[in-house]
Amino acid sequence: MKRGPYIAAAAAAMLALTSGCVSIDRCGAERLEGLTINGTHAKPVEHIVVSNFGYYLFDVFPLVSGNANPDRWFPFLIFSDQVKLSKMQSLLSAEIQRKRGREIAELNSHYDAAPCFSVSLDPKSVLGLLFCYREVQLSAVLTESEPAKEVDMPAAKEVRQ
Amino acid sequence: MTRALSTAALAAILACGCCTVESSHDFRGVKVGGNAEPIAVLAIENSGWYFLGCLPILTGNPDRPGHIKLFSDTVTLENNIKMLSAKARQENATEIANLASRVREDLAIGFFIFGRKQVFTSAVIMRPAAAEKGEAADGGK
Repeated sequence: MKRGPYIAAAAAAMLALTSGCVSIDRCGAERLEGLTINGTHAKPVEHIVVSNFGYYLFDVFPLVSGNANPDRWFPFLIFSDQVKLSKMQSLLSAEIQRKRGREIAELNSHYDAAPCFSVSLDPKSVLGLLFCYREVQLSAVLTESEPAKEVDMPAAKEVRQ
Repeated sequence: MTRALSTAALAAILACGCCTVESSHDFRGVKVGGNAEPIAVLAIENSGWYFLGCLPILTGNPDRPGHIKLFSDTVTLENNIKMLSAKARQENATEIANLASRVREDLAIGFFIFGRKQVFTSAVIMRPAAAEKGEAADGGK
């Protein structure tokens, strides 16, 4: 009995079930307990990490990846390249827009790509070479922007004096 | 086959849920940014094993770094920031710089049955420089 097709089907099913996911991890400023961001004097409001990952054939052709569209109602997309820095930035920008009057600090990006099965059950298997994992993340701190009035008022008073 | 599975299980137990807060203070007078005085660079890592990528089995204990917790979802960004602020308080820091976090989910490592989740946070904790403190004090007078 040929096991190859069954193994490939099982691997594909597992990939489809568990793969490709966009996640937005947040942590409120109450955890930062009085710490300020160096050089900004702005008050941190939220630490946020947006990430997406997916599986690619030969690290080129997208198989399954998390749906990074803002109006998504399906968690993953098939044959669509969603693991992109631009998609993550759009998600982050949408988050910032949603919370008006906030700025961004400490923006960092992280990109990772690796063979999917680094530890293979069968040493002869080529699954490890076929499927590749790709991930992109953006990490940032949302800060409360200083109101324009507070900055402008003292200067205006000085000019009048 | 049995030997291979038991070796894999042992490796999983040995590398299981762990929580570490590592700090390094060796700046030798080098400034990180601005005028603030850097105290330490912190590297905080929390990891754990999850069944089917969602049910926590063994995870690091953020209340007692170096220890583990059973069936508790502690591998979160919030817990990492909690550990960071606790360490900052302990070192009398008032500012942070270069704060960055990373979330990693290795689902394939346990053949999609057991997956490993990791949250890594790094930052530089700082205090106002002595000159700044002096200026602030003079300004206050």
